[in-house]
Amino acid sequence: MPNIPFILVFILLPLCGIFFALCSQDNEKTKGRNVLSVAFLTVLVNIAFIIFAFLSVSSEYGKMQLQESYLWLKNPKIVLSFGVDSFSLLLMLGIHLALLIGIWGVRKDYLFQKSRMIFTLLFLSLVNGFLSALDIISFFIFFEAMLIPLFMLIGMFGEIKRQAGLFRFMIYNLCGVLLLFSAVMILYNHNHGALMLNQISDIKMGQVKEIVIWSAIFLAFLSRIPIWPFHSWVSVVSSGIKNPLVFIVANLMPLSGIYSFIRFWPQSMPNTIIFVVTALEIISVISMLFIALIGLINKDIQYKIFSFMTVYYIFFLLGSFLPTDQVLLNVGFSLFAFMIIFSTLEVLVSFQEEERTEKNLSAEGILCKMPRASAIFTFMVFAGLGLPLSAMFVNNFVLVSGLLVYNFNTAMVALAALIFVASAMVQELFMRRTKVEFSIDNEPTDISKLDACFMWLIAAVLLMSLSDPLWFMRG
Amino acid sequence: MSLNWFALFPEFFLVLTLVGSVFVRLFREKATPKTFYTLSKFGVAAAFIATLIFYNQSFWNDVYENSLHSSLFKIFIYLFAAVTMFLSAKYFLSKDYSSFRFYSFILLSLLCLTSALSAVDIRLTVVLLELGFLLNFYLIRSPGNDDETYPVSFNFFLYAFLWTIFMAFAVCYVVRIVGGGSFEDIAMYCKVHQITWQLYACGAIVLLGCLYKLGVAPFHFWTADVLGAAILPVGSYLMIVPVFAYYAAFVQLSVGPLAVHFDLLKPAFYAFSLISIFIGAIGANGEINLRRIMAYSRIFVLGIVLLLLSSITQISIFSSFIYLLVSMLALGGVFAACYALKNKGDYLRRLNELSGLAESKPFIAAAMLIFMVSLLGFPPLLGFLGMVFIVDNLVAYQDYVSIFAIMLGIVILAAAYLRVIKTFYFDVKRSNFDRADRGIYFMLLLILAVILVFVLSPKYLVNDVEMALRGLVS
Repeated sequence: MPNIPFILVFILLPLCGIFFALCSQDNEKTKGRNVLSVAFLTVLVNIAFIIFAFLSVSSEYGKMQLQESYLWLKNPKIVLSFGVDSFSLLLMLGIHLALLIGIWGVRKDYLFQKSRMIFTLLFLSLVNGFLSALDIISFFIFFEAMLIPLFMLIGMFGEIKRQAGLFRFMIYNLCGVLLLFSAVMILYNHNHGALMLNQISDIKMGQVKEIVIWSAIFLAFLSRIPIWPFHSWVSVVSSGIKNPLVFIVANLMPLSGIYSFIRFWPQSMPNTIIFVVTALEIISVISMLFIALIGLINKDIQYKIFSFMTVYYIFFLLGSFLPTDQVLLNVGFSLFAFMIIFSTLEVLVSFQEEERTEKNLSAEGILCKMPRASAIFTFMVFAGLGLPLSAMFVNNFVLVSGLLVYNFNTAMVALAALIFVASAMVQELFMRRTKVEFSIDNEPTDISKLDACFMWLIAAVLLMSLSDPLWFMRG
Repeated sequence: MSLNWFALFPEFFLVLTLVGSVFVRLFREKATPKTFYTLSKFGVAAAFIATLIFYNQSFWNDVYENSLHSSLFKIFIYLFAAVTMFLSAKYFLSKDYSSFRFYSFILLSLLCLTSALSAVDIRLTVVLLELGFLLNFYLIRSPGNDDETYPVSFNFFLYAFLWTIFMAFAVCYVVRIVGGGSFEDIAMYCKVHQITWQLYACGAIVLLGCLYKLGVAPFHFWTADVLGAAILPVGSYLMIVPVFAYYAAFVQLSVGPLAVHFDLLKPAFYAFSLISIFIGAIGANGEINLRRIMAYSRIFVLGIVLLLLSSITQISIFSSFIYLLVSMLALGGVFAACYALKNKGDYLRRLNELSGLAESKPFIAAAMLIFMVSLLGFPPLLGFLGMVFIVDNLVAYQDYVSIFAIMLGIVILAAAYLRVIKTFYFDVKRSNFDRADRGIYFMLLLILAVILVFVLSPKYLVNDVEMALRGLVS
């Protein structure tokens, strides 16, 4: 195996993509095709590198491999350390596939394609850095830096009506980030130098200091997840986004919060912060139930998808808090399938909504005249519900059983919320598949054969990941 | 008494250029705005090189000494002045105004400010600092100003002159009591003798005078008015260059002759710094003029700098200087980008005139975005490096209240910057922008390249600064 600095490649390749995107011609004639090709190719090449990297790592959770370190500053000494395990590589792969689907979804929208692709690639580069950070400083750097491309993408292309909501969202996230920065610097200073993520739980501080620091970290990560009482700020933005790529990027942010909890939060928690976890469980289940019920009664499909995603994200968060490392890989498997499912659903929904707006149609029965889109949409909704079509099937079972064993009440409320969002999605699916007559000149157009092929390919990836997305690593 | 005339070479070059400019003005008929720029450019370049060569040579011991740290501050003053002068030439060329007055006063101002840093006699230091500050009055009244500028310049002069009188009284009293004006004499006197309240008051006036010139709250009232109303070249010069000189003078006085006075005033400085942080952050939110927003950002930055300096140690000086440097680089970048914001020959400053900038000038808007994000301390930009130094320093002193204040200030300031970013990127274009000069693009690229190099390898910035500042606190 050649000695490739994989992580550096994961981070730098999208930046190279940005360079080529900047250099490529983007005018009326090219209609953004050049930039789109550059972005698409960059993501594909990075996917190839990720798959190649899988060949060099073992499949266990938490065993950091392909480690790289770079001395950034001598005094105070800051060494940026990177490394991956199968869990973070899997999430990286999932995010790349989700963005690939998103880029496919906006390929015909050529207005300002260059800026859109540049910020998307920047986001991708930063996410890769975030998922491979091993020490607290590099972790923080990428955790915060992600906010800028996100803000720009939502502001420029999200077509959000209430921009004040976007500012509140950004300020709210910034508050979380600054809390984390303070906590990270205190930890760094306490340790007199570089501190790895897996060493944080070993640090002993005074009781008050411990409570303050862990509470700051807790709030910082929570700021990324649309959880009560701050859920409305996130939901206003996330559910209001019309562009599928931007919607996907915005809704990948909660993943950063969950991943942070998984990596940062110690499995053997100091006694002083046990109460925080109990508090988190309570607000998590309240949020799940609350958002699921709103999703059920809301008629806007964007909100339904948002509530579907949020409930699942909180469900994965609860799974990651189970006092065992065994289920974390299952969380990773489910997340991988989940990202692909919601991205495909969002692209399909965006296509339908465009047709509706253009031809002034109602949503009812729209899928009857779009057989290709209908088949894929149905597949994705059922896969999202946890039917045996993707990795969510087995791994959600594992998570639910884990929750039932460790906290029965929480598990029951979480299950109720999952049933509510499933009902909401099924309700929407049936409404869109109800037979309705359209006038001949006003019939909705189906997705192209090329689109259908691409999406069936994605569905095939989901099917291949049915029992274990890392099947190829186990021979 | 032996005099080493080589040590005066930088000042000599500045004077020579000034005299040359006057002669050109008098005897050359076809003197364009570029003529005076070219002359000044060579003068500043020669002074810069001479400073590098004679960095540790003293002209007159106990009166005029160059040291590693004073030369470091001078180097940055010359560098930033050179950038400002380069960009100002574009302004004067586009407006076809005479640039003689501007460049002459800049040279005179540089002469006063850099000489003040080498002076180790309080009389000389204060005279040069005051002269350098009063000269700004003439800069503010440069040709091309609108009606708004005259009352601003008048107020500026009035308050500056009042401070000068206070400072003169204070220095005279100190010199009379101590029996000499050299830093060493004053420091020795303060160590050995019982200090009267009058002497304390005089020392305090000198230190507060430096803060007044820096524009730190509660002496900030002139900052936004002057920087917002002055023509762009003057605004960009006053925004960046004098800050280094007054910062350096404040530090040199605080660790040297007025160390005892500084200790007494620590709580006041701490309070001023917190007030500055909040006034800077909140003030920026209330503005619709881009330059005034940046002026308030400067107050915010200086508030953080003073916060660190209020516990004056080797590390806090170093950290504050790094933060100041990276922030001034970003603020300078924003002002450099302002040279490209023109409509029908008029330089734009109001936010509503700049809506949709990203559509017409994507590079300028992107550069502005990078500078503003850097000012907020976002990684991986250079501002983050400054933030790391600051917070690391405050954590080491367990000063969590200050960390909280800074974080809160950043959140408030971020709201103002988000409004600017929204105007540039999310709003619909309302006006057309003139074609920007290539030199502005070149300068922006240069600043961005410097930021990139320092981000990737901060050692190039940090190591030399650390070494130069090592001897400042004994």
